[in-house]
Amino acid sequence: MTGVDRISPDVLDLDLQDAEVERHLSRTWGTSPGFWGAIATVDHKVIARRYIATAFVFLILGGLLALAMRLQLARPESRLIDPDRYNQIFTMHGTNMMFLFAVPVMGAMAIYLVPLMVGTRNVAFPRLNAFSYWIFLIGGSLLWLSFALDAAPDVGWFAYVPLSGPQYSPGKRTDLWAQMITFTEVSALAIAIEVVVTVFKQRAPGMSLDRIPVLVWAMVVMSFQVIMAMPSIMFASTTLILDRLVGTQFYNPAEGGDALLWQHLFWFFGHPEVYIIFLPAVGMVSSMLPTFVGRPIFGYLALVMALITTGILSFGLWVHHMFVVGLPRMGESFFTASSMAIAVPAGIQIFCWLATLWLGRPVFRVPLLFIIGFIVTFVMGGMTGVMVASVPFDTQVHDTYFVVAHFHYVLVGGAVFPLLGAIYYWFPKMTGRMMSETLGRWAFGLIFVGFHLTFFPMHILGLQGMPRRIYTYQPELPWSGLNLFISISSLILALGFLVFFVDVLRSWRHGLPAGPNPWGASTLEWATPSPPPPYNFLRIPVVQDRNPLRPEDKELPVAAGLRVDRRELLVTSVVEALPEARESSPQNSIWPFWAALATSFMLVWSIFSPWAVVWGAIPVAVALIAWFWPKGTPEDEA
Amino acid sequence: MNAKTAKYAGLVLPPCAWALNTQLGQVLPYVDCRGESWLAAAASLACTAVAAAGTVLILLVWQAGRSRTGLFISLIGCLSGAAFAFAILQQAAAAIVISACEH
Repeated sequence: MTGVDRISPDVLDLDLQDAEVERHLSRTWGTSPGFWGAIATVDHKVIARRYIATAFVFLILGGLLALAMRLQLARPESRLIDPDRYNQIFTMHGTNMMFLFAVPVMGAMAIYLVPLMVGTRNVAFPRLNAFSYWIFLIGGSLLWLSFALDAAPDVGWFAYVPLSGPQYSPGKRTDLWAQMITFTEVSALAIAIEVVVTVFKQRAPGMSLDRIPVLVWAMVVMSFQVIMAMPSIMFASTTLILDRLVGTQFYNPAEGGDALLWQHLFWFFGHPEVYIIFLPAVGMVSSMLPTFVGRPIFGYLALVMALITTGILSFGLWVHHMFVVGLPRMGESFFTASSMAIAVPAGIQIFCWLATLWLGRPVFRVPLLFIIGFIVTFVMGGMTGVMVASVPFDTQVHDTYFVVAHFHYVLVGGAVFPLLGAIYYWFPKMTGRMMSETLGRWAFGLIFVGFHLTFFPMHILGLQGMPRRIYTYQPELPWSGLNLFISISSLILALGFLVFFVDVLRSWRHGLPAGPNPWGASTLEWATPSPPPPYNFLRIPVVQDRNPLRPEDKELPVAAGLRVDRRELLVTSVVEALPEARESSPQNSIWPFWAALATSFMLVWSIFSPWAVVWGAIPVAVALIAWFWPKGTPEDEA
Repeated sequence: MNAKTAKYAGLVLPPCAWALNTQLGQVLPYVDCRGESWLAAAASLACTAVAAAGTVLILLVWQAGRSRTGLFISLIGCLSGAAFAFAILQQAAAAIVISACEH
């Protein structure tokens, strides 16, 4: 918005009719047309849609790598892919799926849904939100560019030292991996901070802690996990680059360093990461399920407790990835104990969903099919999780395909199934159009069947001793038949995803109009038009119940008194969500984009020279000063 | 200690006790192995007691948390405290059953 566009100052919405409020808010909160307008926008919905689309592009790329691996392993002694390229492929697959798809897409769903579900007009720190997307996009592109140039990392997604150290991994492949971590972690941390502040300080009046939707609780817990876990991996990747570039010895035992320190740092992040991906899925399921069974979620309090307990316990499991490194058995057993104990809150969640299904009247629409697929698959993955939490069993199957099967059951079953259901569920809100029920059922059927046919036999392969990460195997070994079966089954899985993406593209253009609340859901995001306008809510809703959109209520009570001539939000108290203040929300700005470019320039340069941190900081500082410099707009006022 | 403090103490004590015991579990086996002591087991039982005390504390101040959200926070603390006490109890069982010198 320019100064010319603004109306007279201090115009409050309570003085105006709805049509007038709508006109003013559209002008105040809207995104300017054109290329630079699109680059400068800080609308959380626009940024979240970009995040989601980018993450799904990375999912497609990672899936194609998985198909390449299955093609290679379909028969013994295959020479289709050479060992070096295979190492790059499985490293890229794991790194891409964890850092460029799973974590960002969950953060993106939070960025889209949380402000709508808590009844506010934008996320907290919206320019930081824009900055985080550009950083994510550049970091992901950097990794894939290195793969295109045959210079991708080849040390696994965990990059254990000493393999990833300067002695065994010369060149810049590992540095690219380590710096890509920095890119994605900066973006994840930015989202986490935004979500925590949005939920604790921008909830609609009346949305006390016991009325927060389960999805929002899940995103808050996920955000705290990100804030706690990401510094560990950022420290690890930075010290790895220091070891490689300036000759520090953090991970060199010969010079007083410690190779195991890497594993501790990596898995202190790596295990909570599983729950960073899983807990948002728990929230999605808990928010979607009531809509399709026609009753509120069973055990709201138990679910919230389970989310918080899981979030904390997830930080005490990391050593179960290190059972074969030779730590004292007693110490390992402490982590076995926590790994078993975390099954308690997970079980509580499952029982709450089953009880909700049992007590309601299920309508088997596509999102509910994905929820049921999730429950079945995740329970199976959880059971093998309890198995590998046991030291003697884990010692036997460590680094075999049993573990590959287990974590795909947990991650795909526990996160991707709910995510696909969530896309079917919230696609109408995001685009204003319904996805196809027929294609959705085909997609679910193919993905569910294809997934189980692909990954269940991997348990057997693992028990037969097939190691992970091998690029081929001898014909005498008893693995050929199952490998061929798995490779053929993976095509069914891929076909399911193809149907899903065709449905997304087709529905985006030609889907049936959705209307504001096509499912008859009860959370606040459905009180907005589909897709929501830039300002989300014409007037800020007032929440009087855990399910604010009850069918018996004709109109949602609203609060008034916000200015319409500047971007203004209502700040509320943490526990009771009582109104405390009116706060301005930053306008669109091009500077987060330039700051992201400057930061990326510094980070990429620092792969080659430590002086990049010094000289590269200058453009970053310039961009940040311009970012925060007062622009003389109403938003600058206190 | 007033009711509000007790409620939040009950919320914080069990996870802190669990985190502390998890860390002690990485250090004390070496001490126990050298000195043939039972420090890891003793620490685990002490932390179980702290976690249980946190949970009981919430139960004791239950009536004091009269507001709806106060009751909500109390119940969350009570249930999660029980879960953490269970986790530490399992760690205590490991400390009692498994030799500190075993690698």
